[in-house]
Order: sequence, then structure tokens, then C-alpha cells
Amino acid sequence: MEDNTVLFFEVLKLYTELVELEKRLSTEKNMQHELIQNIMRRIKRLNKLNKDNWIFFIKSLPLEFFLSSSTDFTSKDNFMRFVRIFRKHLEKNIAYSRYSSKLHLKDAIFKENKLQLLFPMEEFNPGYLYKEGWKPVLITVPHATPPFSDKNVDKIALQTAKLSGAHVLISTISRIYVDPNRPEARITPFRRIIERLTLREGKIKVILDLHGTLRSDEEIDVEIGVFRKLTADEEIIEKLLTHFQKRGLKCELEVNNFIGGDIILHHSLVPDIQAIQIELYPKARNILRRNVIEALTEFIKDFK
Amino acid sequence: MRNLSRAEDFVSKYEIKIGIEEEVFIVNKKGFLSPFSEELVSTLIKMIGEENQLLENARRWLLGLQWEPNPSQIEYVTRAVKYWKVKDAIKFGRKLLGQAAKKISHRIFLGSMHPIQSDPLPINGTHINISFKPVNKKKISKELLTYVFNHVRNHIPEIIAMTANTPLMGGKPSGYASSRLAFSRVLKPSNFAVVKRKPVTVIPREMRSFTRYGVLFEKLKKYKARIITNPLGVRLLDITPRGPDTNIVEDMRTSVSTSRIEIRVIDNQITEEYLSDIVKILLALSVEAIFKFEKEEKVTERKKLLRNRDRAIKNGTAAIFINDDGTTINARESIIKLMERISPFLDALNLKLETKLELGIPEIEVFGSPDIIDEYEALSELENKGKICVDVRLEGKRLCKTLFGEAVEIGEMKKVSGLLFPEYQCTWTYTGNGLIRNFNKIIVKHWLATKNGYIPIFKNDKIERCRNPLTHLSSIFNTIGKRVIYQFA
Repeated sequence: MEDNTVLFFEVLKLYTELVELEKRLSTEKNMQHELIQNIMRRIKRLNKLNKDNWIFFIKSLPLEFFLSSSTDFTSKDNFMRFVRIFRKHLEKNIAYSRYSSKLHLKDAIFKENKLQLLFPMEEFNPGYLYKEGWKPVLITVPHATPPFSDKNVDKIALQTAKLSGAHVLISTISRIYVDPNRPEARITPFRRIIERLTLREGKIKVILDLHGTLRSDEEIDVEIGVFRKLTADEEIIEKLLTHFQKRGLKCELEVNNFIGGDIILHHSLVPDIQAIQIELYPKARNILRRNVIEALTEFIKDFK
Repeated sequence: MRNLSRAEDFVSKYEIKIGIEEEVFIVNKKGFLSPFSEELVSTLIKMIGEENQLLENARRWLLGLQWEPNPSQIEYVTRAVKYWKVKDAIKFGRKLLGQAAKKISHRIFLGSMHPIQSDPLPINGTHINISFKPVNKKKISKELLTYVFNHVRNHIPEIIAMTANTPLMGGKPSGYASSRLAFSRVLKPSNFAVVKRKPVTVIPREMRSFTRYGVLFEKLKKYKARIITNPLGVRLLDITPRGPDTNIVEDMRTSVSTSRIEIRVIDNQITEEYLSDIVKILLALSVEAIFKFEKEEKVTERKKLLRNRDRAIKNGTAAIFINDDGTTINARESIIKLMERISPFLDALNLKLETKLELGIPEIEVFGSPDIIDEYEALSELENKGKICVDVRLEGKRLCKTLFGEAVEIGEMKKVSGLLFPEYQCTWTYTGNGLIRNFNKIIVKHWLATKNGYIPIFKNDKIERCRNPLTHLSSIFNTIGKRVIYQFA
């Protein structure tokens, strides 16, 4: 625990240094070699403090970071982008630690997020269906394949993508083998495609993660989850709520505790990439299906 | 035995009942944990609703199912049954869960720890509850309950050696015969029990979810005698006396009929035969204790009990126990001696052991633990050290997978960089009924996640550089810092 508390404060210091670097990169022409060296030393110190600290970083940052080399940042713009993404991911994890003790109090998390596959890669590759769109919106359906699938959600996603021009990504592996909406799945092709589209190709500004609950609630048709407004701005949330309500759907924000999963938490980068989980109640997936498709299509059409 | 006919008398004088609580894992068809206990339970309810006979049997054998903290675990609890019916109750509980799991395309794994995913949590265990109420009395006396508890507790090292069944943890040997006991945070050692007069009841802070009181004055007399094994009344120990006569907070308001001893040290036994034999041994030990109690023999704590306990957890039947006189004895020999001593009580109870426990051979030695087949062990070592950012020189041509699922060939001697990660596969012999008893093999393969896909890494490939992700990040900053200065200064 002591080590984890030290980690927390070291992460905070690293964060402030990244903020400073980002500011200087955008305002000054010349680099501050000293500041970059400080960041480098801070990372080295984190590495020395505890041999397991790397797990926190592999868990908090995009995998793309660890697949890149310094040659990928040949321009100042690329480097600025790298620093910005680094800073934002740390920020998100620090903020998220308000809701759980994950960052600094429980050493158990260090063991949890090892990169490993618990299903045969050969059998399940690639494990998803992807249809490219032309709008900067990605619709993901991580629980589309039975057993224990979210019924009709894939149909809603495909129809919406067709009408709106959004990209769509549907898992073809059942969640009983791998749940793409969990941190353990970040190494799978499904999750890496999201990272590629958002970070490397920069094609996506909004992620809509579609789910279907079995829970029946007369008072609600659609529930929106954004990790207590951590993964999306108020403006975009309001806009989505309005579109659903206009189509006669009872839509609420995080009323039954569907606050979101790992897809929206890990891949959001507010304000550049906004991620929203949409939980469709049984009525919304059946008799009100058309209304859902229309509301989502209208919402997506506004993005350019 | 000195006086076998008396032992038989004792058996007829006591109403002996056994209750079993066994936690099991819900796994998918690849053998990995699957968090669907709610779905399993709703399927089971549906099954019972459709078949009256199944409902009748469930009522007959089981008290209920319990949720566990991890949704890939489920626990069945048998009714308190006559001791000769225990095996049937266990068989029914396991079969019922297995059938329900099969209906949702899953299996039940009966082990205490998943050989790959338990690291150390999640952990399963078997709890055996033994009640021995005198036929002509309303309840078990505090003195008798204390005596039997202390007698059985004195044999905890042998019980652990007989039942230790979890040598693997996180995909590799943990160095302990029972990793479950070595790493569990709740199976702490109990103390020698005494009957004490306590002024009030202190409720430990960790029980505040059960009751928010720190001290309860209500209805309690100025002093009340209670059986104390832990001053704070903690229940989650390796063995505990239970019931309203104890200072256990959860038991304060229970009925006198719940007085019993609960043995929690037992790792899950994968066969019903071994589990029921363990029950028989514990039962015989309890009857031996009753026998000694009636003869007014004193029970004292074994001198090196805790040290022997630790040795049993570490080495199982290969442990060397320290006797009270300072001499040593092999754990297996100690078990054999115990068996010889309690055999008249087993005879008196008309019970016969069905397994090799009589020879001190535990289940793990009969069925073995799974073979770990690691195709490139050096990579697993790198992974354990966190050195997963690697540069590899491929020794031969390689068929790789792109992120889009296409197969692409990479040429010989090509250098590739990426993140190293293992892929695990389990094999087992399926015996039907939706139950997996034991894994035979754990196969570990290694992959390299690269920018555009995945490359399988084979034994002859050469690792040219390896570092942990933090070193990788710091080197990016280092190189870029210099280059940017060069470009923009």
C-alpha cells in the first residue's frame, strides 16, 4: 500500500509535468530539453520505485504507445499529440480513482491486467465484423454473439450505420469466451481496431457503445452511461438525450447504474473522442427499434 | 482399540449430522472462468420448475445455493444429513450444478483454484460442518463442543496434508501444496478454545455490515459463558466452533440446534470418494473426542501445531512434523498413525474408506496436477519480470495474423518489435454431467502484438532486446527530446 500511495503522488507529478510540456509545446517555438529530461527521469523513477508499476501504465495508456518507437514522432505535431494523449489518459485514470480505489489503494489491481489471451487466437481471429463508414462516429456492439448476446442490438447498429454513414464494429465471439468490454480484452483485435481508428487514423470523434439489458423497467427505454460525465461532454449527452426523447423514447442518464464499461472508459479522450454507452431496454430493442435507429441516425448526421 | 464396544455405544448415544458447503467454478467450454452465476441459477430454477422429481431431490439434499463475491463462483450447501448419506448429497449437489451449467454451454470446475486465473483469487473451498447432539439432550454442552473442537483442531496439520490440492497459481507452481491456504486472507489459524465468562459482547469492526453495534448490551446478562477461539468473534478461521454458545457475531441469535464445528481448511476434493472419506475421518476424530470426553481425559494443545500447520501447507504429505517431544515424523506416517488410531471409530460408525487415504496418499498424488507445457519458457520469465516490449529476430518464415484477420507471411530473419503476451489453453478429460474434475495440460504459447497484427513466437526465435513498458516510454522521451532540440533549436 505504501508503494501504491507513492505511485499515486508520482503519477500526479508526472501529470503536472506533462501539462507543462503540452503548454510549452503549443506556445513556444523551442523545446525545453530540461523538461523532457525531467519527464524521462520521473518515468525512470517510477520504474525503480516498484517493479510492478509498469502494470499501472500498461493498464492506463493505449497499447499503441507501447507499439510505437521514437521514429513514429518525427514531427513536432506528432510529438505534441503523443504528449496530449499521454496526459489525458493519466488525467482520466486519476479522475476515475475518485469512484474506486483502483489507482492507489488496492494492490490487487496490479495482478489483474496482465496481457494474456484465454482463448485460442487461431480459432477466434479476428473475432469481429467491421464496416467502414464516412462519418466520424463508431458504433460498437461487444455482446452481439450468443450465448448471452444482447438480442437485436447488432441489427440496430447495422441499420443505423447504413442510414447514417457511421463505422460499425460488431463482436463475433461470445462473451462467455472473451468480453470485449473488459480490460482483459484490450489485447484482442476488437479493441485494437478501436484504438487504431481513434488514435492512429484519427477517424473517430464519437464512440457509441451499444448494449441491451434484460432488465424490464416501465419507466425507461434507453439508459445512457458516461462514467459520471468522465467520458463525454455535457453538450453531447444532452444532444443524444434530446434525440431519443424527440422520438418518444424514455431516455435517462445513469439511473439504473449502467454507467459504462471499459470500451468507453479506455477509448474516450474528451473532448477529442467522446464515448457513450447506450443501454437499450427490451422494449427499445423490439417494438421501439425503429425509433432508436431514427434517433441515432439523426444524432450521427450532425457530425462532420 | 481399547474399548470398541464402548465406542459403538457412543455412536448410538449421539445424533451425528453432517453439512457440506462446497464452492465451485463456472467455466466456459475452453476451461476458463465465466462470470455467469446469475444465469446458472436462473437456469437451475427453470429446470426445477419443469421437473417435480428434481425439485423433490433438491429439497431432500440441499439447503440452497449461495452467491460468492466473484460471479464465476457458486456454492451449494447441503442439508444437515445423517453421516452415511453425505456422499449422495455431494453427488447430487455437484450433478445439479453440472446439469445447469451444461444447459448454458458451460461446465463446472470442481477445483479450489483455477490453475491459470486464480492469482490467488478467486478461491474455492469446502466447509464441513459436524454436529453431534446427545440423543437425550436439547443441545450440545459448551464443554463437549469445546473439547471436540480442540481435539479436531489438534489434527489440522494432518487434515491439511491429506487435502492440499492447489499446487498451481497463475499458470505456474506456487511452491505450496495448498496455495489456497498459503495465500488466503480469511483462513487464519484459530486458537485453542476455552469457555470464558465475558461481560458483554464486543462486535468486531469488520462485522459492521452485519450489525452496526460495537458492543451489544441488549438481553445479555452481566456475565455470560461463551466458547472463545478468537477474542473478536471472527468466524473466518481454519476451524471454528459454531452456534449460540460461541462469541461469533453471526451466531449470536441462532438456535441451539446449530451448534457444531465447522472445518474450513479443506481444499476442494475433485472426487466424491475422497471428499466423503475426509468427512469420515473428521467424523471418526469427533467420535474419538467424545469418547475421550466421557472418559474425562484432558485435551491439550499440540506444542508445535502452528509450525506443523505451516509445514503441511507448504509441503503436503512430504512435510516433516515436529512431535511434542521434539522428535520429527513424516506427514504421511503421521496420517497413517492417525488412521490406525481412529479405525475402531470408523468401524463403530460402520464406515469404510474408499480411497488410498488409509495409506496416507492424498487425491493430488492419485490424479496429479496439470502438466504445464510452455513452448518457450524464457519468454514466460520475461513476462513475469514485466519485460514485454521486445525486439525479436524470427528464425524462420512465419504466418501472421493481421488485425483484420488476414494471414500474412513474414520472411526469415526479419526483425519485429511489439508487445509479448501469452495464450493459454487447457485440456481435460470430460467425464460427462457438465463437470470438469481436473485439467491434464496447460499449454502456453506466445504471441507478439505488433502495430498491424499478431506474430506467433517460436522457440528458435532470438530475443534481441527486451524492456518493460516504462523503460520503453522513458526511452521515447529521451530520444525525442534530443531530436526535437536538434530540429527546432
